[in-house]
Amino acid sequence: MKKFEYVITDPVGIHARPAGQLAKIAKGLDSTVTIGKADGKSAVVTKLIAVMGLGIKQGDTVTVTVEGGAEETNAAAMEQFFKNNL
Amino acid sequence: MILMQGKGVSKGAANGPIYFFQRPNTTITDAPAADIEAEKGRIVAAQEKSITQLNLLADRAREEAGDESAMLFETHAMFVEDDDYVECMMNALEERHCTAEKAVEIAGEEFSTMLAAMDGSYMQARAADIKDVTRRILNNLIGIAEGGIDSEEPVILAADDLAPLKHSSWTSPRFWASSHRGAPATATPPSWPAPWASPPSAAWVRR
Repeated sequence: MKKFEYVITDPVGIHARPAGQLAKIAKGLDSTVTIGKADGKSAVVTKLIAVMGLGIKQGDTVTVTVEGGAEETNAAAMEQFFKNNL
Repeated sequence: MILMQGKGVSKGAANGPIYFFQRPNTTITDAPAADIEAEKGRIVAAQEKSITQLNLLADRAREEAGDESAMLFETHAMFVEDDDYVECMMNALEERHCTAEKAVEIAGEEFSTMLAAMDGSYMQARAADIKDVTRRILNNLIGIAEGGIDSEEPVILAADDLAPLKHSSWTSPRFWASSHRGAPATATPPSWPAPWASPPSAAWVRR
């Protein structure tokens, strides 16, 4: 299992567009990617509505967990996605 | 020759093929379904059809207005196949033994309520998106063609009730174009004259 933390910089938080892109990318990975908030709520990132339902806002710290498959590579790809889009 | 009389809606005279439009019954009831597996299959088919339509709309939006506007339709397509949303429909079928229509309605209600309960206008708009997506799946289940009629060429339209359809949109180039590029045929005109015991009350010429 690989984990990283990220602070959301997007002014609108995790909204439909990046959440959709995230779901799309994660579906192509052989790992299960989960996003968690400080309050303990989490969602598998391929579930678009659930991710939006977390209501992640600008300034929130999220924990992204990558489990199974090529964890190292997939975690790096996810981290890059967050930096570029969120 | 069959002579038919109806209430005129458009001015002037026209010739061309006649198109019979009958609004399908859209009332969703709590009636039990006979075959849950068959209802599941109907949901899957309606989903696939919705995704095809949305991808088509996304492609067209991309051509006409760029990636940004295509994203709306792409997001709708992703909502259609969202795991939790679909699971909610399938669970409703299993638990309530209801029809596919009822199950889709339940899931739409649940998820739009969830997003509407969240802060901010952005989430309110996404709740509205879920409602749109739910309406699209329902239309595909019930068999309502987007925009009302589905014809490749201008037609003389005969319907028992034109009021619920948006007349103004029928002559707009946009509607015309969308009808041309085709939502799949769902509203099959009934064969003359079986369903028309009395003459249709309205006729509309589409230019």
